[in-house]
Amino acid sequence: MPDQKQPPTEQEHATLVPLRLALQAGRTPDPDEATLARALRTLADEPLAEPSDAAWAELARATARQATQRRWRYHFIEWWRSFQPAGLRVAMGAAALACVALVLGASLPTRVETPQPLAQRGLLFSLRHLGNAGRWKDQLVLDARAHSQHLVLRAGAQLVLSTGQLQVEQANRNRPALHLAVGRVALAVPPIVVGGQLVVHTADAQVIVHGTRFSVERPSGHQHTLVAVEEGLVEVRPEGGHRPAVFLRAGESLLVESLPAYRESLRTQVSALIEHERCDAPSDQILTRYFDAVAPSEDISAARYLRGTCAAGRGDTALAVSLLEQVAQSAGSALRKDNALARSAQLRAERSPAEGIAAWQQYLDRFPNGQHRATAQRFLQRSPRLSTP
Amino acid sequence: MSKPVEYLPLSPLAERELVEGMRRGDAAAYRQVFDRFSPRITRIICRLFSDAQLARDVVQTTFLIVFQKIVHFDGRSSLLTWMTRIAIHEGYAQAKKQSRRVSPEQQEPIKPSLTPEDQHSDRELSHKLLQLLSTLPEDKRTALLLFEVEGFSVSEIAEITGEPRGTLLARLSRTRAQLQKDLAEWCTQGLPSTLRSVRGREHA
Repeated sequence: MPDQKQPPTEQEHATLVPLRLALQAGRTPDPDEATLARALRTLADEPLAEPSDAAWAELARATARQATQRRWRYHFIEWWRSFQPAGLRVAMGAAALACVALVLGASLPTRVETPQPLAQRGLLFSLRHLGNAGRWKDQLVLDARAHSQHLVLRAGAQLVLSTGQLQVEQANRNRPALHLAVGRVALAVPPIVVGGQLVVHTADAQVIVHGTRFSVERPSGHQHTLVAVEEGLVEVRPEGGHRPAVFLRAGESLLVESLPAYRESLRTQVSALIEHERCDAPSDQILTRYFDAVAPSEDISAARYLRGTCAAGRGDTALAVSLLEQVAQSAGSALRKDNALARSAQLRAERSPAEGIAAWQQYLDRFPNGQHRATAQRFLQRSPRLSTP
Repeated sequence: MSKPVEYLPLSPLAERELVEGMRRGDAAAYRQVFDRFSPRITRIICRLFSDAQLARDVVQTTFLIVFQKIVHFDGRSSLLTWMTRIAIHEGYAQAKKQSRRVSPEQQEPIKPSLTPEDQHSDRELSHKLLQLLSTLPEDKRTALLLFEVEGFSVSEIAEITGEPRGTLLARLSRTRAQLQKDLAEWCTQGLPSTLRSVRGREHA
């Protein structure tokens, strides 16, 4: 029998490794420890079972059931809340209890043979068919220019369009899509089934709903969409410009600029950066956002030149040369091309004299009368041996 | 034995994509998460509670909770750690409610095996270890299984169980020592001949 061990020290605690790994590494001199390690390794090495399709199917059914229950609960609470003042709710509750008592009383064995009165049958028939009273439309357009519109979607969401126009597509009950051209729509969305989603599209953003109460507004004559969340969670994905998605929680709101307005705002910020030749991390982030958002036809050489200069300042010569050469190829202004190629030649010359000679010769070939020809010639004269082939 | 490639840990980027997919309501992402994590969660719960039916119920409830709460997953821990925490809490709750945990005596007896000698003894050893584990208190069993068998780090186990790291380290050391002692006793008293020869070689 092994002796009773001392409790482990702090150092042993800090380096505690699983025994089976210690066994693999040959660090288990104690035979009892090795036996335990072998047993643990056998357990750890047991292969995992394949995921079961039947279990998945059962889970999918359970999630659908759960979503339905949550939707019903939500509708019931909303319906209950709609009774104002609170005294009315108390009266309704009392009436409901009385009804339950009546139904229970009516279903007592002694009363079973009693034929169902015509009025009772009529009431049950009406209740049963109340849900089917209005047929759902897969597509419809709501117009609230004259007065606000209220609608309940197939998914159970309630919406109020206070101004503007809204196009509704709900062919797929679990994935309704709303297109708001202009105006304001407020929604109360019950919990959504797994795999389903409700999306509100505007020209500036997609607002993806995760079971909540919120509003989306695109004011007429403005270049933005305003999303405000009252309850739950909403995902907002701005349209275009590779802008990141934003999750909004209760009480939060977000103003999403239209893509042209967003680009214009970035352009203004980048101009200020170029003017002050700023090279810090926030400036770099602004430049990245600008490059992501800019239209393909736009001349971005000035921003690229700034990024190249900043890279050179940080000592990242490879990136700087690459950016400056791109500017020398694609800039709209001849002077900027000239400057970019000259700066690139300077950086390459710092890297190695041979590379510098090639770069400056390339510069002179391309800009024989360029702004920096004197510098190029001086450099080549100072390195004659290397410059001759 | 190497594990299938699909069960290797996910990179943080791939995991984030899966989480965002679920948040978007992408059905494929839900299925992928289920396929990837359900075997591991099932095994953990099976070993913790020695009850396959309970494990099936717990796994289903765990995934229902995960799908419902994924919008609140903040990414501070890995998805597996988060799901294991839910599964273990749910497992304890259901086991307590149903009192369905089987006692060691009720467990399936060891079936005779025709595999080679060492493998045979390893299987017997691991079976005995599972029996010994089932007699341990819940907190010790959970910590040891997660650390020694499932490969969670002590910090991850601290996140799962909500206990301080130092407490877990002390508990792991004590549990190891206790199991080592119990297993050694079993080996010397009720050891099959194959094992005795293996132990003899180790002592020599």
